[in-house]
Parts: sequence; structure tokens; C-alpha cells
Amino acid sequence: MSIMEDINEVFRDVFDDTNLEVTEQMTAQDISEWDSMAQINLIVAFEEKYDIKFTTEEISVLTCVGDMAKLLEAKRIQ
Amino acid sequence: MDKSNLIKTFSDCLASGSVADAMSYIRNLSVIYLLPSDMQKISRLIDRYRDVLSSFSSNKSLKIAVLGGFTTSVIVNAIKTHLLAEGWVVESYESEYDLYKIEVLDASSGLYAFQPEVVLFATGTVNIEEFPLAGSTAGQVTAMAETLVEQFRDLWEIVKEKTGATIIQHNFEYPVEQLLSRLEFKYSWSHSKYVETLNNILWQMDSREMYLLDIFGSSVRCGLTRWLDSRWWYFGKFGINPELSWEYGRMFAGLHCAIAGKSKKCLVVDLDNTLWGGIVGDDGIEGIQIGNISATGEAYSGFCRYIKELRKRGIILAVCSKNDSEQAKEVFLKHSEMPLKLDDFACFCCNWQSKSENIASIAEHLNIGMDSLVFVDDNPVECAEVSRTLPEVAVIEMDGDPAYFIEKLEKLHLFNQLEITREDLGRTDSYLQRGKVESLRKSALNLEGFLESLCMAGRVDVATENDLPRICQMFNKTNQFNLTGRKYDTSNLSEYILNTSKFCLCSKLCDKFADYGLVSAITGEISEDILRIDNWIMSCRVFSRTFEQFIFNHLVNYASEMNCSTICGEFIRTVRNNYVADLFKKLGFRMIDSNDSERWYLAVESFESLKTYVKVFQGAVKK
Repeated sequence: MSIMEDINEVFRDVFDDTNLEVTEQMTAQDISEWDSMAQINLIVAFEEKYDIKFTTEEISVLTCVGDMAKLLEAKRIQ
Repeated sequence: MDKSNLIKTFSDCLASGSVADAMSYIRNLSVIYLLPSDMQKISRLIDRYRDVLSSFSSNKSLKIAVLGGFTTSVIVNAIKTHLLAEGWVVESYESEYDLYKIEVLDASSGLYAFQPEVVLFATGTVNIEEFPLAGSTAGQVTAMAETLVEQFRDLWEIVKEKTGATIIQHNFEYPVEQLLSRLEFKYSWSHSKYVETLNNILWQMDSREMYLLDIFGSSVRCGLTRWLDSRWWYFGKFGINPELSWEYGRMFAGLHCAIAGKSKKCLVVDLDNTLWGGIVGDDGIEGIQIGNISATGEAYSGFCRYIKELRKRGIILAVCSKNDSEQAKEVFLKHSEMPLKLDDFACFCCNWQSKSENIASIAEHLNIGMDSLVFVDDNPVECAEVSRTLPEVAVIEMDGDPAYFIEKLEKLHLFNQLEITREDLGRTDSYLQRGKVESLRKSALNLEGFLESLCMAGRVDVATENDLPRICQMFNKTNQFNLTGRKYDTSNLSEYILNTSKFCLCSKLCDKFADYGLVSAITGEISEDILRIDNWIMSCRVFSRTFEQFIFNHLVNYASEMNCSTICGEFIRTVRNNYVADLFKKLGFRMIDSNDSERWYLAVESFESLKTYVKVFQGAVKK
């Protein structure tokens, strides 16, 4: 599965919306429920899925799907 | 069904009004690990379908107010999820982060408007504003701790008076930073010791003034730096790692069940691949994995010993297995390394009926509710059958590595008690135990007295075919007490048993605490009047107990029975066998050659028995 497909699956799960289609341009502004609670849900879900860890900085600034995809790609390779 | 499907099905059942099915799915969900997002989803479903869930006959609604010293949204979702599995439909109220004192003191606060039945003080070490000054006396530290607890107690009293609610209070976890490093636990004024003092005072009030939720214990089990992952504190003031909210929820549900008198009373176990590895019907009593035959076998024995301990704590045990009853009973009657005995079980159901029928008859026989039973089985099909037919039974699938079975069971907090009474402990057992420990203390002042007090009994036998797997395994994994480093596979080793000019002796040891089983073996050969030791190994668990002297006395006897006048030994140094470098010297041998390997000999005639604290045990080695 590509990173974007993985991200889409996690987003659908976290936001409980089976029709959600994320794009790289999407940000927290586009999804009304993307609050700090959702951020935790996303981060923990990705960490669990890929066995990776985000830094405090990354958790706080990561609010764009495209950035998330890039970072996940980089961390997965590490 | 995987987790996502279970949640989906749970949701569908609620949507279609099949509450009974939904309840059975939530029970299955609550015993598997859930992410914060899973529990958020479930929690929202509870809010959406509150009416239909509350109207279900065996469910009750419950209002819980959470007063947090940190952000509590994640743990609230966990509480709602796990309490639903136990039959409580929770409506929750959360105070703003760290405003809990104000909420309690302000009579017009949302807390009182909510009219809670349970009030949870979700606080932690992050909320301790002041720690003892460096160098404070123990008395000062205690006084300071008492003052802080007193402040909490005032809050509980106000809440109780105004609402009549049950109070649940977190105790404190160790601080993540340990400023004194090595000395953190030396001085009573250190932050960590202060936390211990606070907790001790809180425990004395437990069950009387409030119920303590053991955050301390849980943080120790999960690992402190994992429990409080500092990232989450800085990101959103989470005092508990959101990743661990599942663990938290289980612990909370366990406490709440105990308060409501709904803790589990009886553990029903499957046998094959649950209490031992393998299938007794196919592999036979000798072929099953239990005891020191293998590492896996040891893991299964560990699980069985744990279950036996549960029985001593007052949990009723029962067997429910698809097996031939007589054959299954044999394991408990005859296998020397099966710690559980037939009379540990209140019911022994071994037949070919469905497991749900058997479990129903167990509940009836014991006259306890179906909801006080826990069933463990490795087989997912059996688990599904039981949980579908008897949804109130807590069904745990014991799959995977048996080394983690205990952990898996403990994480679920099923067998909580509010108090342990003297009666629970079973008087005679505990008195016997205490007697043992005291006599050990008295005599432990010197080594001889200590060894004497262990009441060791051992035996040395000519190995038989049955001992081969264990001996073979020992030769492969014993590195310290290993004279030559020679290893054997089963076919080489059986040479030593079958060939009359060779021999293999194996030794077993037990003491008053444990039966160590087969822990040493010697291989060698006899030509004319010389007995030559090929290799000798011993498990490190029984080092330094004069057991090698005991074994060697027997070897000399064996040599003279075989009409040998001389015993020859060889020592080949390996990376890890320094422990036995001077063994032959200690046993009275003389060195004759030390080129490639050291060669030693001993004249049987002039040998005098060596001092040993191990007594000869006749019959089977047993505790």
C-alpha cells in the first residue's frame, strides 16, 4: 500500500468517515474535527502502524497531509 | 474478526437495535488492545446510542465526573469503553484541566449540576506543587505528606457531602526525573521517596474514605518513562501516555467491578496448549511441554503455578476441555512437574460436548453467576463458541507465547478484591510458609547453616531414554559448569545409555522451596579398571550448594561398583567455564598433564567422601 493509501485508511478510521478522501493539500483547516485530540489519535495510530516515533515538535506542527506523508516516508526508511 | 471489524459490527448492531449482540462484541473488544482512536469511536457510539444501551436489561447507567489534574479526555474514553463491557453505560463530565479544586469548592460548578454517582480525582505527580527540601528529616517528610493528603481528603469530604458519590482517587507515580540518581531511594526527602510516603498514607485510607486507583503499580508495570511519555505532557498536558489508555481503562473497570461486587470468582481453563504445550491425547503424558523439558515447558509450568497461586487467593478453578477425562487427569496425578493437582479444581469437565454447555453446568454446579466466570482457551473457535452462546462469560483467547500468559491475564484486572481477609489467605498455608521463612532467617547467618536449612535432597541415577531430551538440551545450553565443552545430539547420547562400556548419570535436586528436576549429567566410559569422564555439566541454578560433591560421591561409588580403581578427568578451557577450572582439584584429583587440555586422575581406594549438605532422596523427587 502506498503512503497516501495508508494515510487515507488511518484518517478514515480516526475521523470515523468511510467516504473521506485525503489529498496532499489537505490541512487541519479542511477537516473540522481535526483538533488536538484527533492529532493524538493520528499520531498514536501512525506510530503503532509503522513502529516509529514523532518528536514533540513534529506532533505540534504536523497539520498538513502532504507534510505528514513526507515525514512518514522519511521515518519509515530510517 | 479483527479489531476494526469488531468495532464496525458493534456499531451496526447498535444501529439495528440488536443490543444483546452489541454487548457481546464490546466484551470481546475490551479484552484486546485498543488505540485511543478506537475508544473515542466507541465512546461516541455510547453517547449516540445511550438510550437503547441503558434500556437493555442487564445494563445500568452511571454518571462519572472526572476531576483532572491533567487532560483527561483520552482516559474518559477508555473508562466509558471498558465499563460498557462490564454493563455500565457511562455518562461523563470532565472538569477543565487543573481546575478540579475550584470545581469542588464552587457550589454552583458544573460538577454539582451533573449530579455524579462516581467522582474520579485523576491527579498525578505532576500536580504535586511542593516537594520536601533537601535534607528534611523523615518526620518532616511525613508531616508534609500528611498535609497534602489532608487537602485531598477535604475535597473528598465536600464532594461526598454534596453528592453522596463514590470517590476514586489516583495515587502517585514516581517522578520521571530522579535528581539524586543512585541515591534517589536512599533519602526520605528525595522526590521518589516522598511519593512513596504519600502513597502509604493514601493506602491506609483506601476502602474507607475512598478507593485508590493504583497508578503507581500500573506505571511500574508499564515502565515509568513509558507511562508518562514527556512528549504528551508538553504537547497537551496528558499525565498518562495516551498509548496506555487501554491499560488504564482495564484497571479502572477492574476497580469499579470490585467496588460493585462484580469481580470474577472463577477461572475456567482449557488444557491442551493452555496449561501445557501439545495435546495429551496425541503426545502422551511424557510428550507434552511442561516443566524443565524445554523453555516453553517452563513457561507453561510458570502459568500453572500462577493459577495455583490464584486459587490460594480464593479464586475457584475449573477445567473445561475436549479430552479423554482419564487421560487428562493422569497429567495432574502423575506428571512430576505439573504444579496443579486434581483437588485444586472445583470442577473437572473433560468430555466432547460443546464448551458452552460445560461452562453452563460448571456455573450451575458452583452456584455462581455466569458473569463471574473467566474462560481461557488457546482455540479461537472454542472462544467464539463460548462468547456467542454465553455472552456474560469473560472469554480470553490465550494464543501466542505462553511466557506472556500471566501478563495477559493480569492486564485485564479481572480478579480484584477490595480487601484480603485472614480467611482468604487460608490460615494453615500461610502459617506454614511463615515458619519456613523464619527458620531460614535464623540459620542464614552462616553458609553452613543456610545450606542445612534448605533441606536439600538429591539423587543420582543411570540415565534412561526418557531423560534424553532434557540431558541433550542441558548439554547444549550449559556453558559455565561444563568441563570440556563437548556437546551431544540425542543419537550420540543414546550411545552412552545403550553401550555397556559407556555410561551417563543424571542427577536431580529438590529443596524445601522447589523441585529443580534434572539439573546435572555426567557422561563417560569405562575401559578395564579406568573410569574416564567425558563431560560433566550442571545447571547454574544449583551452583554453590555442595551438590557437585554429592554427585561426585555417587560417581566414586559407581566406579567401585564397576570395579574401577582410577577415575580420569579432563578439563578443556572454554570462554565461559572458568567456574569449574579448579573443580577436579577441589574434588581431590591430581593433575598429570596440562598440554592441550588438563588431565586429572583420582585413586578410588584412597577417596574419602566429600562433605555435602544434600541428603539422599529415595523414590521420586518431589516437593
